Amino acid sequence: MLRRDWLRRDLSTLDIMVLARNDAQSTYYLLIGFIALYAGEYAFLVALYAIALMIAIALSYGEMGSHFPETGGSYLYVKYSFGPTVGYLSAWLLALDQLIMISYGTLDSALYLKGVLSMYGLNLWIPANILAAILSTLLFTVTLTGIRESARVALAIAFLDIFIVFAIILVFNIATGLELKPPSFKWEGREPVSLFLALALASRGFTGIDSIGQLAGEARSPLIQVPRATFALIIAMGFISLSLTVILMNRVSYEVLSDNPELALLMIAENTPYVGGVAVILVAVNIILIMLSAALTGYISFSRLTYMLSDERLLPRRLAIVHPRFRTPYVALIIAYIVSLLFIAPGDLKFIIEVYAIASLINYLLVSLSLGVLERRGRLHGGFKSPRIAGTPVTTIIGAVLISFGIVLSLVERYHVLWILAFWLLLGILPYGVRASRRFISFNMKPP
Amino acid sequence: MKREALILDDFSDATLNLVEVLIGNGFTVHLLTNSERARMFLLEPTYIHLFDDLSSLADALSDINLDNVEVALLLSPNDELNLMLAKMLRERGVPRVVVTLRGSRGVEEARELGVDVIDVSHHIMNRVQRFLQLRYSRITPISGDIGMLEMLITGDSRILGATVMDLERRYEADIIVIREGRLVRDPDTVLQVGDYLIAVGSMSSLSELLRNA
Repeated sequence: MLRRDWLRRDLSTLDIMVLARNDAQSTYYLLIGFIALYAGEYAFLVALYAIALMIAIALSYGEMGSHFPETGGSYLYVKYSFGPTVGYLSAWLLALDQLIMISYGTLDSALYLKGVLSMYGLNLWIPANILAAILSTLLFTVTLTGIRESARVALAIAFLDIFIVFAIILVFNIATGLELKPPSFKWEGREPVSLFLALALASRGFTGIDSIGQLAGEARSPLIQVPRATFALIIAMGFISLSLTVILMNRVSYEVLSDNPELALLMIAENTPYVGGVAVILVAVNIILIMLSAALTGYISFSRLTYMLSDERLLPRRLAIVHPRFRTPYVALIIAYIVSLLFIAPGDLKFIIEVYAIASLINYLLVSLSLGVLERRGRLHGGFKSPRIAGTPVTTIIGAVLISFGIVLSLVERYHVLWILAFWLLLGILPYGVRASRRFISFNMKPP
Repeated sequence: MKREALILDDFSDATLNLVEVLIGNGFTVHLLTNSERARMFLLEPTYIHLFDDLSSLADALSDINLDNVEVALLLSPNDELNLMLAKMLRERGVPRVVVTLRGSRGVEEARELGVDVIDVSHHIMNRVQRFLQLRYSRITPISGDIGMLEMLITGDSRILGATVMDLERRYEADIIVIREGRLVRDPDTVLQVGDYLIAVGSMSSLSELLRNA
């Protein structure tokens, strides 16, 4: 499972695009209802901001990824430009979101399962958090026993998603006519609950896009494929996300959305002309699969990341210990499982959303700045170069400005959950600091 | 642990082929080349480190964690550059360094550094000798003290007329003969002009066979 030294290189550009889209799009599916609810009649404009930020982040990753042919993503990028300590901290921040991804993936799956069953008069008696905990336990068992994450299964889910969302939802809604009166469409006069919060959530609307850099180790020609996949990803996600927001503001009333914002996509499906009944089932199955896939990715990504950091001697070796029978890093997986249960326990998706992705934004900012450093050094050749302003890539400038704005929004709006981020950072700094000081002492104690 | 290799471009297709082979064997490859050649390698999953002169070469090397580099292949047409870099890499702990040399002057120095040498002029000579059926011999170490001798029997050879069995007994080596593109395994075969002789045995006995041939 963790042989990162010799991954088979058989991913095509389309595979990379679709797999990366799986991760990032799941976040937008999760957040679209909340963003629309908080933004009210400005939801379309907020979606535009989210897409602009997504483009800036994606281009930074695409350009950076066109220089690095192996698995490691942002850790490699930041390490190259700012050294191993900053690289480690940036990867450690990303790891928090990978853990939260397990929680939101399983909890959102549980909510969708209960939601769709209740539409058919079947009220599942198990609370959503217990159901999510059961799902997380199942996924933990699957990853612990060493089942290989299959890119093909993830691809099948991603293609199913594109088929359902694009071919059914978008086509039927667009073909039957939408009222194109931007920016408020049919939500004119719906005062935003909190535009600030909507923007803060939108800043994190496409978290997971970083996976495009992780896939370089399995691509045939990553220096060319990663930027190409990035462009395709931007077009696909931008179009689908913006269209869904327009359809939501046309087909679903603001008042209905406010009851269950987490089920926004189900509401869109239900109100799709001609195919509403079928679409509800398809969308529910689709979202459940996408969210479970995101949760599984969370387990695998976290264990891979901690394994890599242990391999680089930045984390204790214990985290990289593999199970004697299943050959999987069971210590890292147990940690991921316990933390996922802690986030699932309150059963509060809003709380998870509040915590989620602030750390990723900081990571994205570091990647964007790393690109600037890399290009200024000019020592590593890549397959994609964005235009320059005074020697600095445009992607770095736009990315740094937009991501910083997103971070400030998130920090100001979510200051009451920052203790979790601070606690997580402390957890990461302590073992790193101890190891660094040990290395320093052993180096200085060496006889001349 | 991942396996990393460092290649100094030789500005021919050989580097491209070598990059493909190493990647196919699970290596992460760091290629040192110039900006003109860099585009050629974009389809390969390799790090492309750019350098145009010696100072930028040092900068490019500083981007590579040499602790992880298992082998360095220094193939540039510049012998001095290859040797200088080989020395530096050996000093910084790269376990295996292979250099190509066009001239014979650096061979001793390279061997003193513990560096494997591919003598380009020697290889060219070998090929020409084979193509033109000129006098030719080569001993290749295989493992431990065991090596392989390849030799073309020419009209002035002292072993003309000897049988394979005679030579095998005298030099304690296993010998086969290639005659007109076919393997001849009969121990009673009498050696003729134009035969290729291949012997496997200890390095000392092969050297003795070569001296007496």
